[in-house]
Amino acid sequence: MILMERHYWRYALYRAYLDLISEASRYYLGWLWWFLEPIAMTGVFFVVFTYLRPSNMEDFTYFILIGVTMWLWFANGVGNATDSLAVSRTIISQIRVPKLLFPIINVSGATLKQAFIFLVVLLGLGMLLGVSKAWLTLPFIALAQFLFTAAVACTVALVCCWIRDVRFIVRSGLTLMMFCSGLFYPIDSMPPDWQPYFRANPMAVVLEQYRQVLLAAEPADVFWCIKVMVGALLWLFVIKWLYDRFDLLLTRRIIT
Amino acid sequence: MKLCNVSVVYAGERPIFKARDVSEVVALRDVSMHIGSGEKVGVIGANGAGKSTLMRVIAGVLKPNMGTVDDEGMSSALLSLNAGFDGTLSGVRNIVMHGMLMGLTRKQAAARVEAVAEMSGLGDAIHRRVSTYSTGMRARLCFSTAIDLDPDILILDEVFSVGDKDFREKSERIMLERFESDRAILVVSHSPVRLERLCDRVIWLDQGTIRAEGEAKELIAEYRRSA
Repeated sequence: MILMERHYWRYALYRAYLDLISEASRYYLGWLWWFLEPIAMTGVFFVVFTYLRPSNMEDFTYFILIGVTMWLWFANGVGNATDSLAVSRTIISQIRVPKLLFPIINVSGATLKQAFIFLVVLLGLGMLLGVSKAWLTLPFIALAQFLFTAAVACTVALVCCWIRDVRFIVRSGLTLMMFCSGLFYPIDSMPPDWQPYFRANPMAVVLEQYRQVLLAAEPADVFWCIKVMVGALLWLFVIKWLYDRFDLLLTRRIIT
Repeated sequence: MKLCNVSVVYAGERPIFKARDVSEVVALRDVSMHIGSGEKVGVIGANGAGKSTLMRVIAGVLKPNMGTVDDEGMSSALLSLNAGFDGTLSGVRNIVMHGMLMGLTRKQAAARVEAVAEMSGLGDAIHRRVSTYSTGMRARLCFSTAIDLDPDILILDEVFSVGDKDFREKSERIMLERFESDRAILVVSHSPVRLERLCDRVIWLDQGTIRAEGEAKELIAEYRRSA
């Protein structure tokens, strides 16, 4: 099995599912927050760009909703991974497990939650805008985003375990990345000289691709998605090697 | 299970505004020992002697800085009060998750629930969140979950220091029954009486080194004289 033995993947998925149940049970509105969070964020951007700084774009609400939904998948997966090793201290000090398991649980949790929300968004868009053949390319974008999120989350978990101060930078970094990912503006609206720099950020292109499929009914750039998948997989193998190589130091760092 | 000249050092934090790291701790220094099949070995020592670190090294959780550990193909399960349970989930779900982490499928892990719940004697509380459990109840859940996995070496870190008398007696009896044959038990305890009752051999740890090792009764007597 890739990166970890099969039973650890089974555990990660089950654990992610239980974490979602546990998270929902902590709030009065439970799992409704899964939908309210992206709706609230979309509402904020809608108010800002409709009344405070009007945008002339068509389908602006859909544009924002798609961006927010898919951005939250990345942001939640990476944001939760900052503490994933520290909060799993009791398991790590008791049982011999690959440490990579813990950020993977966070990414799996964010994926399950966002997959559910995305299905509802798809259902809504399908009814309002219609379904096209281009939708068949959506799994390529989603898989590229999953692997990229996993690679970033595993890296962040490792670095934050080593240098705990980095978690403060991660929060600001995610905010900066959100503003640079074209969440509430199309990258095409940027000056042409700047656009390649924006598109060097895979999340900016991922969001563009989703909108291209869902709003313009044009298929995703599958070749680009495969390039991201291969790149993220190679990155994950390097990170796994680092986790294995520094396992001794990592365990001591977590336990003490 | 064989340990050869094992040393473990915990490196501390070094904040940027401090000139040197003052929190480095040598938890184990040049420790060598052997645990054979069917042996009942106790580990005694004051707080900070390195007992929990030794247990983690034997369980394979922590690799030593120096020295070698040869598990000779034996599986081990470390059992302490801090057993890695998730307080937000019920006892049942924690049993299933623990089993899955040890390599069982969800179905196999779920099939264990009834036996573990019965052994723990927690009754309906097994369906409650673990965060609502008392320390004694956690010890019950922890012991029942680990012993059900049937490891070659069961490592118990102060598990019997809490819980009521009935549970302690019941769990000690079950443990000795199950580990009568070729299974080994390693018990860490502050209680010389318990070690004398459960173990054939005792290791006395002091400031990370083995101060003495020998037959349980003799070594416990020596430990008491020293205390």
